[in-house]
Amino acid sequence: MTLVNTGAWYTMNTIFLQLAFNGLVSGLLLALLAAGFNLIFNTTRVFHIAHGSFYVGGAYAFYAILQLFSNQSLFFVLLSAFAALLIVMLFASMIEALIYQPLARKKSGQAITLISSMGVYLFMINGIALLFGNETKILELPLGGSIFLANVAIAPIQLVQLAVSLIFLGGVLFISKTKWFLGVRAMMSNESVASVLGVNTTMIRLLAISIGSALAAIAAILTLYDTGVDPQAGMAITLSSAVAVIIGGSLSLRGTILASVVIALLQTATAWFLSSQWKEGMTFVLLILVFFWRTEGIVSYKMRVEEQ
Amino acid sequence: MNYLLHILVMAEIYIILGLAMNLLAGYSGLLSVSQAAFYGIGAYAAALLLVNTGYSFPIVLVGAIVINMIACIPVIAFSIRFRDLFFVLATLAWQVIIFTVLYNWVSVTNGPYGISGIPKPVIFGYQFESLPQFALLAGALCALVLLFFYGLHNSPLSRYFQGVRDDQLTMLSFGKKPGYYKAIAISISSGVSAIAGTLFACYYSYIDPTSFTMDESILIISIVLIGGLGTLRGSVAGALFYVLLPEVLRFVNVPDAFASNLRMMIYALILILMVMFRPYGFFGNYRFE
Repeated sequence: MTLVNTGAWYTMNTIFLQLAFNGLVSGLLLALLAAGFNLIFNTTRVFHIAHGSFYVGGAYAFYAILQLFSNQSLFFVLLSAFAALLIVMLFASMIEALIYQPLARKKSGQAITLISSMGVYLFMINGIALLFGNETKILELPLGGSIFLANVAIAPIQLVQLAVSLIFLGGVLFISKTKWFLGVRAMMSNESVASVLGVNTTMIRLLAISIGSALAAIAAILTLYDTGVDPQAGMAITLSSAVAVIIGGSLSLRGTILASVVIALLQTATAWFLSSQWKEGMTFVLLILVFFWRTEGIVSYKMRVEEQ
Repeated sequence: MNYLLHILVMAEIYIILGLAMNLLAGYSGLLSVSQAAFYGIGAYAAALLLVNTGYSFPIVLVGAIVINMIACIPVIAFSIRFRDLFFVLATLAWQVIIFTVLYNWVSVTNGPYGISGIPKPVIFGYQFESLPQFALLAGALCALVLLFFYGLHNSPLSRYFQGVRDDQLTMLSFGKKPGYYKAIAISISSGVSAIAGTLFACYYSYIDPTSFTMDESILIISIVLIGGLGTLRGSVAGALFYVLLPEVLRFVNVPDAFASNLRMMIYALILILMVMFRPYGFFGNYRFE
């Protein structure tokens, strides 16, 4: 986040507007990740720490494929993005088929799947670092300088991020209204009953984890053009999205998106008023406060007594 | 020779950490992700006391243990208030918050630059300057901790911890408060971690926050899981396995640039395979459901 001084003097008001805009854009990016985390968490019941490794993996796959082409025109960018998404979805399905699915068949609890997910995270992050090195990868967007709207500086990449994340969030919300998603909802409330009633839970798990990971990869590619991605960035980003899911009320997609924006606004404000190193700490202070006073999250469904 | 001693010291530090983690995860069934925070607070407390006050090593060690026992109070609150995944998340939050504080509280912890010039331990005028002497001191402390946990393992208190782990409702119906025993387990674990932290600080004579990240917490958990939950030899075996694994890699001539990443990959793979096919670890008698 940079404020470009163009000679205009900034009032407190413009700073707040600028912070709000930056927070909104990064909030929507975080919402992409968090929506993916939410899908995976609710269908597979795995606390998917490895989400961050798919984020990093998506960014690096995109970077590596883009380097193959001499020409970085829009067509090739889209082509590489598509290929990167396919790779990420393939890997996610492999993880699901090889690790999460067998564990679920053994009726393992959340502690055990969480630990296996930690293992996947360590494995993938170190694999990526082994293949591509530990440096931050960053790409330049071949577009002009910032646009000014009511003294608020808007970088071109922010507009792209805003548009793409809105499109995909809209897509996710649209999917959540379709008939197919009813099966997912049934699975969220009771997996074994849903499977007895003919919902193909195996397929839904597979689809949810690939779509969720693809959403993470999209957010990663958008970040690659902005601040860059390094292998260690995965953990912080998973934790932020997990916090968004928990704070937003883990069953509600809209709550997750709302909470992501709230978290991003908090992080932007923290980075501006304190320092960017306090961002994560503040996110988790928020998590603990929500835990103590509103365990079910901001947006919550009423549950029947026996479900609580 | 020095190299072997270095491995010995690392093994001793990780055995202490593994035993402390095992008390939480193995005996009391609390999957806490804030072990590196305990470790870090212990290391920083000892380093600051040694550098700023110049007290002798035994006093500093006791001081670090006491500070750690006070600093673990929030985790006790989490353990009483939350169960399962929510406890994991709360301790995870605590780990990140402690790391952020260590990283940003520049006036006390010197932030990312860390604390340097931590003196080697001096006990009753005898200086543990050289590596063999330090390995001996760490070995003695490690043996003491092992002895302490052996006593604990055979004591009635250990039964209460296992009661907390297996069935809290039954504990309550016998008139024993689970929260009370959780508090004892967490304080002991935190206090013992301070010993490891103190040894770490004195051994390297320099510490910075990056040694106490979330990844370190995951590592300590995986040490205990691979070794096996609920038994002492499990933690010892897990720690030895973690410390000796890179030495095996050295024999197959892996280039240094890849060594650390490859080591973590192999380690993660073993963790996943263990979780899937042998949930009891090497020597465990308890597994997470």
